[in-house]
Amino acid sequence: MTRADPAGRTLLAGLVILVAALAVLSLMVGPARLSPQEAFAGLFDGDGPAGIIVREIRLPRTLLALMIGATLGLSGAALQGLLRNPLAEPALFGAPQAAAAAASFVIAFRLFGATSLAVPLAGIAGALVSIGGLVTIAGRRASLTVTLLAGLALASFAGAATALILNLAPNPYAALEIAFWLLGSLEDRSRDHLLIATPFFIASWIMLGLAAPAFRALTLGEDAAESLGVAIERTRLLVVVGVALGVGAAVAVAGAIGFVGLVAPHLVRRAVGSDPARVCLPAALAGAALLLAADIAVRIVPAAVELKVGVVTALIGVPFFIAMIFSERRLLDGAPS
Amino acid sequence: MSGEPLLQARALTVRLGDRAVVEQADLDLHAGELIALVGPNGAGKTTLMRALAGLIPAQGAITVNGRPASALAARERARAIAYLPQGHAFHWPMTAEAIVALGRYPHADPFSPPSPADRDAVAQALRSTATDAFARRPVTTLSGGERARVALARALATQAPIILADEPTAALDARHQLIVLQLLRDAARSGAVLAIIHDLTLAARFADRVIVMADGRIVADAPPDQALAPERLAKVFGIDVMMIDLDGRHVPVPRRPID
Repeated sequence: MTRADPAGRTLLAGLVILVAALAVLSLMVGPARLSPQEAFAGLFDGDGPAGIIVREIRLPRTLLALMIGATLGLSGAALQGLLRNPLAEPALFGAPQAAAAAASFVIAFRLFGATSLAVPLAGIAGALVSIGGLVTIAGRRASLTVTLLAGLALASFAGAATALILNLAPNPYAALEIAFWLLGSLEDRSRDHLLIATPFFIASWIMLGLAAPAFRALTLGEDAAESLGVAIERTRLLVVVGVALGVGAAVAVAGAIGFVGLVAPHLVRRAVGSDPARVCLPAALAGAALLLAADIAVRIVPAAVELKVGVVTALIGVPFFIAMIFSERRLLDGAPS
Repeated sequence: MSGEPLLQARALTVRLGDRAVVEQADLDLHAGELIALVGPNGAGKTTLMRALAGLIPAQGAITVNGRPASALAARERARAIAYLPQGHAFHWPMTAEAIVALGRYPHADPFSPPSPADRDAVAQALRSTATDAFARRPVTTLSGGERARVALARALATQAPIILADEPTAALDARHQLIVLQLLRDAARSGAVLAIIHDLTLAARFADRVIVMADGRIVADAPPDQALAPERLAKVFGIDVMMIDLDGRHVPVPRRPID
């Protein structure tokens, strides 16, 4: 039962404004700085340099940051809802790593041509195998320990597979290309990337949105939720496939960008009364804002080589993760699952 | 006991692997009854209850209000049977009120706001369990007794005619054990309640009927003084009991294990 409370509405309105403002800022920053007026003008008309820069270079990058951030934030919230665990996040369970392994295999050996659908499809397949494997290994009554250990094992295995592909790469250029791509970046992404990934993102959002109401009943545990009429197997399938589609496509176009799924839901959880269903939409918006901000930051920070956004999210996300473990240590020690 | 039973099981058998955990169980729950399900650890009580709630597959026949349980959709079954699992787990620090509102899950489209009937049911469940005083507090900050009452309020909010409660008094202090059983007693006025209870004295004191399980089979289904007779308790539980009179009932008080 969704309660349209004022606090929740204020939060949503604030997040929408923040995302919109960051999106505009993202159109403005880059090697050629544009004013808001120039950015807007470039968006809608003109064949001048501003129009080409905004429409061809910055708009795809901005939209990708927005959609990937939203997908990662929503995926984190959905995994947390399904597993009833605030530390769940796709990257801890090896999904991006597996997607990266599968996608780098396709890139390294130039299977099916690099710009085709093969890379995202390989990424999705990799993510599907890893998330499906996690849910299967962890089982019905997954404890935190079992889930995290299974995720660690899957992430390590995917890491090893990626290392093997780098090792066997046919030439050093392919290896270097993969290595850079693995760092996670939105630099020089084109309209093609956008067109390839968007349908997968939208499918992912629909599936996770359909699963969301069940997360609230799942706070009582799986048995009680099922006795309330929640279709557990269906929910599990929607989340597994939804996360795999979203994360797989995100990794395929932007490389490995981690920890947005962990951080975004945490930032907005208190404002929705810790409701694991209501947290989904604000978590998606917060994820979009986080990734847009990170992608703006890498363009503003003066450096000889542009920073990779995946490096930034990991540098911010991991200390955040450690802080979360620290603050929830007592709860996690005592919690049965 | 009159009319058709609200919940009926015939020759119910549950197998885990090649072992029958529940074997050929027959039982009837009628409106107005509070039935205690007792038995030693591992007798199959929880498995029987989960099978009745439709959470695990079972052979045999279960009928709900005269209709085969297999013919009911999940939400239909959820409106008829409220199941209260062991342990009162709440995984998120949601408010007590939000937890109780989950009892309305099978009544509404989960994407639409609560109806006036939903709000009334939640308010009534909060009132009757005296949980309204802390309705706005996160459940993770409540004491064990308070959490047990919130969990019970959640089951009551469904307004299901049948309530299945797995050890609702476990880990509660004496006062809360009495409060919870009295609430179940009250709930049985408008429906049927089946509760797994380990305290034989309380089972005899509160239940209209006691079902005794041992090794997956129902070995007694009778009024408390017959079902919990000293000879049976010696055989099933391996304990020696003293019978005392309490509020007009003949109830057993465990004294020592029998070798």
